[in-house]
Amino acid sequence: MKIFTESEEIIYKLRDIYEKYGYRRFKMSKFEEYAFYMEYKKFLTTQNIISFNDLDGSLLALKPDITLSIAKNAKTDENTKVYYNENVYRASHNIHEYKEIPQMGIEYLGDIDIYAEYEVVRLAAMSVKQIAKTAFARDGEFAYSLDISHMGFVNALFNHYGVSESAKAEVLECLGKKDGEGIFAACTADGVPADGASKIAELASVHGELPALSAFSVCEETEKAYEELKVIFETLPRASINIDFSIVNDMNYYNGIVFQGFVHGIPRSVLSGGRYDNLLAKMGKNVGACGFALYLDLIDLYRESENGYDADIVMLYSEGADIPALEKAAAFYRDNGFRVYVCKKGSVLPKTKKIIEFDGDKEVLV
Amino acid sequence: MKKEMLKVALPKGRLGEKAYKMFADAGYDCPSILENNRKLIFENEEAGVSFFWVKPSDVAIYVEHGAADLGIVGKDILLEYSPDVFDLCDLGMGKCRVAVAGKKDFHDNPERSLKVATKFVNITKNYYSSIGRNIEIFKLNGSIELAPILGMTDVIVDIVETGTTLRENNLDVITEILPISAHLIANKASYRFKTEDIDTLKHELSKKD
Repeated sequence: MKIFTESEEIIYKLRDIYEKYGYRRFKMSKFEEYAFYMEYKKFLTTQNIISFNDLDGSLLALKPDITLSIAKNAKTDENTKVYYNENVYRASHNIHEYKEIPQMGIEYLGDIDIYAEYEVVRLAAMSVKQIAKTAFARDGEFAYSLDISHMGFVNALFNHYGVSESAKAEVLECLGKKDGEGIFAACTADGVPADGASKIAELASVHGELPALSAFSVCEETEKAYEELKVIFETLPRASINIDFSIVNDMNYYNGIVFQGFVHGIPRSVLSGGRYDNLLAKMGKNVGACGFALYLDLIDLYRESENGYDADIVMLYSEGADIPALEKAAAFYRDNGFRVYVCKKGSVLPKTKKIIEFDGDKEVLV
Repeated sequence: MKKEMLKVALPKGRLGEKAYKMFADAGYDCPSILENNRKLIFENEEAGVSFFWVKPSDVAIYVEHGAADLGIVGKDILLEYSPDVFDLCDLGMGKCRVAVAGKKDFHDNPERSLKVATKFVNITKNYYSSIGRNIEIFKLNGSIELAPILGMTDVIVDIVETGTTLRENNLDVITEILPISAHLIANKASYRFKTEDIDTLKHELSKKD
């Protein structure tokens, strides 16, 4: 009998993986000071935060994000490797109301070198694969993709071709939509010469293996980013990892690799993460940071429900039935792994595969 | 994994019919779509594509949520609703513009808020905030031209194709805000798992420009 739902099973499997890589569980309160979020407003994907007054009058918020709270507590003299499994509170994009969203993720803070980056990307790939395999496999087949870009690479490329600071956000937005024509228009409007603008526009259609990236390398900084990604690509199992520049994150916070995970069967990205040293720098901490979050709500939302029954067996009894005998009969099926729903004849029945009528000490299959 | 069909959402109406013709010319035809019947989904297994008609403003919703891998949608819808999709290319058809229009004798009085009727609330807000003009928006769902004629608003912000409807009602274009045309959009996850098919289709469609 299957007790765990797919998402519960995924959570346990992922906890096991993260623990084995030396990450410790980070448990936290649901509240944070509201003013804290106002300081790092742009880091959040939502601008709507649920706020309320504490008993002393101070303004608190229900956490819309976990990363900020972990970053705030980062130590500067030692590495922090943690994972979490918490709820966050955000406004839904489609309907204008707040939602409670279960989120899981890891953060690696401290001395982030190429191995640390590799480890985080490896765990991201394993997490996405676990979701695909556990909840979205069909006839044993499943597909997933972890797409990687590098904000340092993209920023250096922008600087090389002369995209001004004020135009970067618009160009990035078009890049996120793979809108090559929009990139070209925004670049030329910004005064970037046509050949540079079309080179940047070409980024939009890149999707594939690492060599796709080297064609765009133009300077020392892009070369450095390329070498970084090369190590990651060479060490990770090949399949299902792609370079894709449409993965973009705010340059004010993210400075290195950024990535998103996709699972065949979920129409949106189920994992998002990257290297965010710039956020820590804004907090006055001179440490590196890399991590990701998984949106667990999408698993239940999009997985196909294959079990259309509320119980395997419904056992009906009549008024005055021999209760010890009834219990014994039901226990027999339960012990054999069936879900047994016992109820009186004439009640509203749940959806079931089989109905058994218990009559004195006899069972009759209906 | 087994090869799957490309699901395409087409907007009902003239634009969708024109778009279907582009697909057909590029080798993704599906003759049953032209038959007069009550079917909702049309498939061509050989070409690996299926089509369905939806309300133009719903195309992006079907694509964003993965019910369709691809869709044809006007730039106006993309700007108004900012769906989280890939905007793969401008198909260069269905060209028109979003414009401000008003009565022929319209005179803007900057001392008070301008009353604007439109179904494009976000485009309108963004345009007027970019020029620093204070406005009052009246959200309508159709027959926008009526609003200034009946004196409910000063102007309208709407799609203008030829301008005939405006002229027949004594209205004039005051300012053009945006050029509009049909775009090919894709679901962000579908693109990852059907990259080759989608890139090929995009390439075939843009050849026909």
